Amino acid sequence: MGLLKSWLVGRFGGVAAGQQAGQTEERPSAAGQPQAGVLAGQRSDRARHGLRWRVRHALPYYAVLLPTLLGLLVFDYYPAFLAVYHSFFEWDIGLPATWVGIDNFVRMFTQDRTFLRSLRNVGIITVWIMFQATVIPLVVAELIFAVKSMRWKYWFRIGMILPAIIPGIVVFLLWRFIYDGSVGLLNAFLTAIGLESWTRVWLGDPRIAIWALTFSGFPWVNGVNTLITLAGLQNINGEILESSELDGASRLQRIWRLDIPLVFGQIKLNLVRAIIASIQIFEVVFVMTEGGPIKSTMVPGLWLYYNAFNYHRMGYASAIGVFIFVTILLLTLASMRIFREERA
Amino acid sequence: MSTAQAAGSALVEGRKWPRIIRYWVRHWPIPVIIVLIVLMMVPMLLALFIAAKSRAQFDFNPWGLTFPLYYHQTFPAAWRVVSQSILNSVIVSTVSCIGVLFFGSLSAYVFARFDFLGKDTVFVIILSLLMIPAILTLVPRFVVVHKLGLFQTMWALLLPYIAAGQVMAVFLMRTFFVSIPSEYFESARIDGASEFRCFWNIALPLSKHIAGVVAILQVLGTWNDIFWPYLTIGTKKELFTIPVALLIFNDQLGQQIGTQMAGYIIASLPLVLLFAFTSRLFVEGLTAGGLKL
Repeated sequence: MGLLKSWLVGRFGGVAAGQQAGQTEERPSAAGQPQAGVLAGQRSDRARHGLRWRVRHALPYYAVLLPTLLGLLVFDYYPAFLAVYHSFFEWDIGLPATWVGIDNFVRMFTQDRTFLRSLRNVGIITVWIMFQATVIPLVVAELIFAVKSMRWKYWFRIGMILPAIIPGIVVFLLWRFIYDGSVGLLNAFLTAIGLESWTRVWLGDPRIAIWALTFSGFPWVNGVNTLITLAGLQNINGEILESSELDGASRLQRIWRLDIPLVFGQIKLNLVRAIIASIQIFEVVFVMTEGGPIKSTMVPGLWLYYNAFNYHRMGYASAIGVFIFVTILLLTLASMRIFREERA
Repeated sequence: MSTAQAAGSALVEGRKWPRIIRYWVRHWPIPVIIVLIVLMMVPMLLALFIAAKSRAQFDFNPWGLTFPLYYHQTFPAAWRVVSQSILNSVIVSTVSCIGVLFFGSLSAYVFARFDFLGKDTVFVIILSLLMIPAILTLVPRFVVVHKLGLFQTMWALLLPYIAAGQVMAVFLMRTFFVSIPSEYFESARIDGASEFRCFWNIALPLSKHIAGVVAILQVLGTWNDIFWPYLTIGTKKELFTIPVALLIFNDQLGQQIGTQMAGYIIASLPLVLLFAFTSRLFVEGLTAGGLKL
């Protein structure tokens, strides 16, 4: 459900950024104007009073903010700082830390074959999730958009979101059970339709496990992404669509020439969310295979966990964390830049 | 005579496609979407069916419903295993939700309504947390919790959840508070209301919807979190949350597949119930438009 968070960031992050840059946003009445009024009124205060007055004036406000700031400091900022700091050390809980410079990072790419393997795996998973988060929701959203009856539409929207509220752990365990070698439903299904030779221990075969893991979750419809895309489609001006129909555009032409460019902002949001979620993916792997068999399904996030808590290499684990953080940052920035140019 | 006529007219009608078929050909997306939604629900439906099976029934036929139903055995057995952890999850989700709403809305109000030294800087610093992936801080946060002596207590869950949840809450609620016309507050102040009353009696009641969104996010996030409770609760059974309990007991239950499935369903029910009451808010929040980059 971290995914929900990130779409909200996508939405309101844009508003906040625009506000700071002083741009006019889509909802100026909601965010921009009253804020500007407050600031203008107060700016004279700033000019009138000295620094000491302003510090004393600010204290009561910080008193109210204190619980928030204290909690964030202890449980978020300090850990984030520690993560970066420890990535340059060899260290475990309760032991003195030894400065090793960038050795942790060098070792990751030169000596750690499991880590390199995990990069390949996370690459596979990320490419698939990026497809699953953008193309499939677009197709399903177009299907729902084509439905004229409002009542059906309403129920379809609820039907899309309903599977998304099943707890992740339940979904992962169900799929582990479906793939099971002896009692699994997939094998039972293959046997029932006469493909007995295809049955196997899906998550136990090092060559197949990563693919079985990646393609779990059939039929791969992401309800939240679908609704975001659908919202984009519904916001398209109806006259544009009508005139395209009058001009004799087929449905496919309309989708390709009109719909996709017009909902590109939504697709991009889904894409960025997919990148953020899939690079740090590890819970599904932990529940379904624990990274096995023989580490063939290892992903960086899970390798971080094993290094920290099983092998007691917390410094090395922190370095992996920093690597994941930087990768997410770079990929997000890159995808936003690439697709902005493409649209223009 | 009349029956023959009726039969005859039916035959004439039959030359064209029956109306019902023509209707569905024209509205083909509807059945396609229905099939998709059913496919999306298949794992859950199978779990519901398998929960009714004894082991022998399952070995004989894993599909569909088989009779007699054994719900009266599997559900109580699963309930005995997960009841404590359901209670724990309810406590963790509720308390952290209240904490986030309380502290988050207070801070958001301060950020939205007042100007003071360093406000913008502090706000941007808080928002910057949204860019830090959870995986980066997982290990050091565990170290912090350990050092504070919170290991294997419920505080190890509550405090970090409340702290982290506030980032989103402050963000969303500040955006909303800013949009309330300042005349509301000014006239209240003129009538002699304290700043806290402005917050409590004007700002909060108006922000019911956005508070609902924040609450849903927080409940979903904490209810579904697998790894943090797995790390910090460790082996202390009586503090297990639902995901940890399912993960651990899944291996212990091993061959009792029906009971396992019943456990999955019980674990999903509270969220399904919550969703039943809030689906409108949820779906509208997602489809109101404007979500894009």
